Amino acid sequence: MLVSIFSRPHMYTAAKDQRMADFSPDHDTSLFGAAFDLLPEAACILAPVDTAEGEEADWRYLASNRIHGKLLGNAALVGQTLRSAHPDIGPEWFLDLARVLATGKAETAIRNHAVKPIVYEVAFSPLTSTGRSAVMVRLRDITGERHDRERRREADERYKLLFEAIDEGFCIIDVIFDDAGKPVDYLFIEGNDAFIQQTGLVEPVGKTMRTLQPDIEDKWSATYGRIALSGVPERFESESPAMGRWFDVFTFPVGNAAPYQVGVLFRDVGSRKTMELALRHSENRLQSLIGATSDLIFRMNPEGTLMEQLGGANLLGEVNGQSDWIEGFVAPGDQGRVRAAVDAAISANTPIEIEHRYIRPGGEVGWLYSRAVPVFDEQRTITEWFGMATDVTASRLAERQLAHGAQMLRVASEIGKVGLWDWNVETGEIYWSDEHYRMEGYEPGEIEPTYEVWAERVHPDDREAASALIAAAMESGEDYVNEYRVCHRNGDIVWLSARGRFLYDEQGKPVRMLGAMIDTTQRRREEEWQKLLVAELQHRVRNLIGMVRSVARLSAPSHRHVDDYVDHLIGRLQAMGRTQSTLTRSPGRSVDLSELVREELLVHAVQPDKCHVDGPEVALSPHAAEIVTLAIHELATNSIKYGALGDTGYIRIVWSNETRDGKPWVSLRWQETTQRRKTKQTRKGFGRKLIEERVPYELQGTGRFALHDTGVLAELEFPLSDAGSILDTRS
Amino acid sequence: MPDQPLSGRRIIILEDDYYQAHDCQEMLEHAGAKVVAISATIPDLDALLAQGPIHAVLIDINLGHGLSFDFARELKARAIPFVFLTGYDAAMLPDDLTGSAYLSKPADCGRIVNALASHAGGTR
Repeated sequence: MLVSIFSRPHMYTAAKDQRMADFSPDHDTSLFGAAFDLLPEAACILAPVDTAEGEEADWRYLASNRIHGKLLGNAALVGQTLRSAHPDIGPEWFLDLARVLATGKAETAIRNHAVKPIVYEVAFSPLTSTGRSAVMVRLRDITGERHDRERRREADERYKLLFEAIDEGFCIIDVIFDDAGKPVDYLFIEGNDAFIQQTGLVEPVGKTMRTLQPDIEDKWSATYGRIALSGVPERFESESPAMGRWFDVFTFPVGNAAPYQVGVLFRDVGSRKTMELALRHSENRLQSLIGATSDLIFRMNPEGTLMEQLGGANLLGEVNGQSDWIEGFVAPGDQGRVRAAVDAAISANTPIEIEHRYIRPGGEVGWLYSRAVPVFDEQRTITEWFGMATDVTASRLAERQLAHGAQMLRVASEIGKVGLWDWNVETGEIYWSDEHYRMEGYEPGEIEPTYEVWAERVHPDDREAASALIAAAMESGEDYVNEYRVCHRNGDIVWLSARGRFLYDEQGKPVRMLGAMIDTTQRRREEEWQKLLVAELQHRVRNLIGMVRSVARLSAPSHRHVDDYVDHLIGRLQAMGRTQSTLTRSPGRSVDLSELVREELLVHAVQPDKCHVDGPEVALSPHAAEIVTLAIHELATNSIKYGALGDTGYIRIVWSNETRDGKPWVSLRWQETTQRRKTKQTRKGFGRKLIEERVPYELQGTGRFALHDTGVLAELEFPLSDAGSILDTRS
Repeated sequence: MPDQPLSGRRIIILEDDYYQAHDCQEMLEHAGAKVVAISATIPDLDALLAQGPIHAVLIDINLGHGLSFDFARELKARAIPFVFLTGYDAAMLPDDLTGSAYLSKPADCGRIVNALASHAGGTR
């Protein structure tokens, strides 16, 4: 059948080659041959040529249709062999043909034209018919096609590179709509590496968003669905809380008709967004700060003359724009100083810091603390100043009041002789005021005060109690109140009355103890003294009454007449009274003997020319004074009545000091000189008993009373003693 | 003898005031006592005891040259009864002598005699 196909003139004819004698020309005219000739593609049939041993294989054209002839530029190929028709033909053709023939399987290959830059797609089809074999070869010039594909491949390659190289995430998605036409999800068709990095999605391609991130916000599907339907690109920035990211997204339609695929080009702007937010917060905070601050924020020209309020407290009142602030706001008295400070800062390129008075909007003068720092350009030239000003009027006032208060306290404590202390319980540091040092027997600042230094000065008997009181006050929070003795280094003992109070922190821990104390030594002494005085007064009054009783009784026997008795008694009581008044005038002190004698004589109106009083200065104890007064009284009374003082007589009262057994004694002598005595007195009267018995008994001395013709000679000798009153002995 | 409650009692008077000492002596002797010593100063107790027992001592607290508490303590130690007679208040007494028999001046005869009688083991 096939043979008949090749019946066309283009077919091989035996006439041309002996070896092809089996092809008969009558086949050329067959219908098959005509159809083959009209095939729209280039086709030919090749049959192997029998070749001798060692000869190269060759194939002969059995048929070649019109297109084939046109393609090869040769319409008369039938009957020719490949080698003869195409001298430059490559060996691959022969191998292809032999293989197809051998395998019996059709093949398609791409083959180049031997010399021209033409590429063919070659389809080899084995033909077998009645023991004869041939191969049909169809050729198609694909040179242009290949070129296009190559270009497309390169473009694809570049696109792919770009696709992977860009930082932006990129993906193509198919939006999935539900039955109601609502976009509900989307499928990732393609995605680059950046897409994976910036979304964190794992192997997204081929999966839907909801599979990957079930809680993804609906807005994404909605947006992509809108673009898929409208085909209008959109650009937006949006946050996905579900993914914890912020995206800057450009979406555009891909494809020719709705619903489009959607290309999504995006960038994770989370960090930028975070920074933006932080910056916005920071700016907000700064704005709030400027708004809230009680300081005035300002800026100033490089010369420091013009100032502009930027914000903060409206300390200067309503000022718009720039103004000469030194002229306008600084108090006249401080303008020069401020100007100088600003100039100095400008020339030294240093910040300005100055406290000065200013005129407040209300017209009163306040204090302003102004600071400004220079802002430089690249050439280190000041371009402006930026600064703040704080109203410090209140703190200046407080400072002054504090200083005033401190001064008051210091002066008051000095004048009031108040010792102050401030004990830092935590560090052990103690502050003592100057007076405190003196109270402890130190010069101010002489030593470093500590608890131990203080405790060391406290009288040993009072130390334990004082420490216990402090500990109790620390524990209870109640005031520490204590009066105790302090022993100075020189042996002085002073009484201090102290009051203190502990201060505590929020946790109730004692942190400080403040206190004050005064020296109560003098008060204590006076109190003691007063106590003694009262006791002594009581004692004396009671003694006196007892004595009066005794004196009254003792006076009785010697007088027959009541008048005499009363005179004597009154005289004696008056003498006792004089002693008491002398003692009360200077309680606790000794009495001068000379003074005592002269006063007693004066009381009895003894004229100075009738007596001689002489003796060294002798200080008598109150007790001795009492007895001597009474003795002189008795002697004088007696003498006026009976002896020297009653007429022209004369009295010598002399005394001397001497030492007996190491003790001072006084020896007093009363000697009368008279012409005659009126009566001879023999009975031992009150005065004589006083001298002879009371002096030895009470003064541990001796007393003699002798009545001579010339008058009385009385001698009193006794040791001088400080004693005699509790006031003396108890000091 | 009801009018001599201190009969046979040997008594010391320690009193710095001469007049009062003698008044007292007179009063006690009238009550039957034998006043073995009157003194303004602390007497030599051993010497007095050598002469015979001492049943009671009347003591003025202030002897002018000093207080008599030490002497009172000595008496207490020797179990010799004593009565303070003083112008001072009882509050003057030191702690170890509080509770001692005490009379405030001026005291009349009866009280002094009674006090001594009750302490000196005299007739009741």
